[in-house]
Amino acid sequence: MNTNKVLVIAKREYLTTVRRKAFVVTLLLTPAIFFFAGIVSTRMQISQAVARLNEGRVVAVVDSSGLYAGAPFAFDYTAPTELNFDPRQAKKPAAAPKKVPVILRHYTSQQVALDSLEAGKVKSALIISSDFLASGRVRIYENDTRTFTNSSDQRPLTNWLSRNLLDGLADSVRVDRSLGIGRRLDYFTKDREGQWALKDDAKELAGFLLPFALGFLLAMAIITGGQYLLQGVSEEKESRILESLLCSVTPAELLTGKMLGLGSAGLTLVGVWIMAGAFTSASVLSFIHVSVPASLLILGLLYFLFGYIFYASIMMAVGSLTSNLREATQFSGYLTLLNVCPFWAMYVFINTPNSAFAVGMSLFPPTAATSMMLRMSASAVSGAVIPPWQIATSLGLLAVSGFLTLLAGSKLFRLGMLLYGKTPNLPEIMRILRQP
Amino acid sequence: MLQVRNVRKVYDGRTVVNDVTFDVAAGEIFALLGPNGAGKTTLIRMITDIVRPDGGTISFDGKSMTGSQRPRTAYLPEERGLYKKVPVMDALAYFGELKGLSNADARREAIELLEEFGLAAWTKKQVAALSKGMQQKLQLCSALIGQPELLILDEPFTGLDPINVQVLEDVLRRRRAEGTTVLLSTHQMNKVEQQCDRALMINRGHMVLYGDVGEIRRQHAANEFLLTADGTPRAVAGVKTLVAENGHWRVALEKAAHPASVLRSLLDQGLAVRAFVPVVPPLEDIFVHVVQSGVGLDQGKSGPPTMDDLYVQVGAR
Repeated sequence: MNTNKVLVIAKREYLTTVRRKAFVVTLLLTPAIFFFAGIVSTRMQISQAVARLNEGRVVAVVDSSGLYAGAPFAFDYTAPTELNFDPRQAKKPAAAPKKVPVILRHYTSQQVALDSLEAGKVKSALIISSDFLASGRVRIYENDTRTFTNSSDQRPLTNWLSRNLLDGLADSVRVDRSLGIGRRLDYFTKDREGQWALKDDAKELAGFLLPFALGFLLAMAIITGGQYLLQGVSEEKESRILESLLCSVTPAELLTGKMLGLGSAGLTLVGVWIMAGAFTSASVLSFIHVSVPASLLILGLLYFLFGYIFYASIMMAVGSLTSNLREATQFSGYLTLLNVCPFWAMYVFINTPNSAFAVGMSLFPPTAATSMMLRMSASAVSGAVIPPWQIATSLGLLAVSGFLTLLAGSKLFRLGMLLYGKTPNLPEIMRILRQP
Repeated sequence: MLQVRNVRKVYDGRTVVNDVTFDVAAGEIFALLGPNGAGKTTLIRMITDIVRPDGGTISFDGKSMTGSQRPRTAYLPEERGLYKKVPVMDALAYFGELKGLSNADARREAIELLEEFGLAAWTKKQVAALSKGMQQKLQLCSALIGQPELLILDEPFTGLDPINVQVLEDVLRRRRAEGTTVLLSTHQMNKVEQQCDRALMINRGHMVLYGDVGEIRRQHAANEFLLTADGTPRAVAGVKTLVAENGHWRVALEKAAHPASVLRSLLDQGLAVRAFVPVVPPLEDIFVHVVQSGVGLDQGKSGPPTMDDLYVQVGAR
């Protein structure tokens, strides 16, 4: 094989791809979409919830239990101060807790209270059942059309209920402490070394998200590189250029160059996303003392390499066997689904990363790359250990499969490039593959 | 020199190229002729090492056509295309680099070729912006770049206007003078007569004509002569028919008649003969005759490949 020619092909494929408008748009638009979905929309949701919590309210109260006959019907609610995980806000002085005025109006019947709510005279109606002390049953009525509402929005009312229920039975300090117990509870579990350690939810979340994101990006890189290859081969076949090329280069040189160049384009895409993600989240990750282990990166790269060879070889065969790009894209869609299908069973991987299903998926070559990354994500949270032999076997099977699909793909490529206007059926493909 | 020896290709028991042997010398323009489905494309694909023969050998200057030894070969297939969304220069330079040129040399040679074909002003334009004829010329440039030792052109004149046909003919003549071996496959028989030194015609995979173009035409002459003379000739011994034709006389001789004896008899009539030249049939007539009469074909299972045959052919490679 002539290395210079391989590099010339790889360089051309790479530059042609990364200069395409579609590549640039994908490069910029995908993180923008994730940024919007992950940050902007979340912030909007939070700010909406906070705004709702901070707005004053007039509440109709129907106390059938009589337990709140002596309770004050107007008070200021002060929301508890939450822990701040954002290092960019760490040095800023804490804002003074906001006091929210709450006015309660006593109503004699539920119907009158609801009529008042309908008329817009009150914001919500609190119905305390007659057997409240025994059953704890309370109803809150609101004119709220949002699909997802947060029960914490009702904290002013639940606080009012708790405080006034205990009025005279405990001093205010004990009441406050009683209401805040859940928030200051330090939860210890055994770490991987078997030592008691404070459970750090933020760190665990990051520990899960890092391999998860890597698995997702790995799947994206494999798919993207494979799609470029499919597109390239299909276009060259449609434009009848392959026969001229094969006069100067061998099919093996052409394929190797294409796989190298287009795989690099896929890696560039994902690499830029990773760097952008690392840059924007570096301060948060360092604040919670999370770093990306080198072993994870090396494994990610190996899975990308073998996974890419596996899928790219199939994509190449599909591109050369089908008559046009549209037909090729239809076939490749199924391959893409196969690559990402482990994400559909994500709950299995998260809850039982060492279950037979998860192990099987991570050993099965078409799903091995993404499945193993998901298992590693889950093990970061649960503390489950993935046996090294499983990683080695998974990588080995994927490497062997990649090599075999490369051989089969090359053979089909040599056939497909000479076929115009007809897509062979499965028996015909099998017939070719059986040739020595 | 390209040497093809007893080359054979069989698809599923059907012989599509049957024991074909021919040579093409350096500095020769050689025509590969045949009706559609005769096996020309398969033969070319075997020469360019896209398909491997089932029997026989193909070599160039004594070296194999496979692997690193193969000569600098350029092939312009009949069904051809180009990268559309790249500048003309980049498209051409890429082909040059694939043929072993450095990027700088490829670009330098690309400029020379583009100037030669009148495309220099389009260097930075996208290929898709070129007219069909211009793209056709660019495809020729992509075949010619890299100074190929063996140049295989399949219907290169298709789509070119008369001026560009002349440009291509000039280029081919120059390449021939420089020692390039040119294999030209075309159905334009007048171009073969004008451009080619020798020709091979295959029909259903068999060699049915091979040799010097002029000699082939002479061999197929029907013992007819064109007589130009002052006065009206009378029939003489050995003349089958004598027909006036555009100020000349077409003289058909009997099989056993000798042209010199007939000419002597005509002169003896006192006729002022200015020319008495044999009528050589055009290659096109010979082509039609050979194909329709099935000259040189065996009774075996030969013929063009089916789609199924192709699967086996390429898969076996």
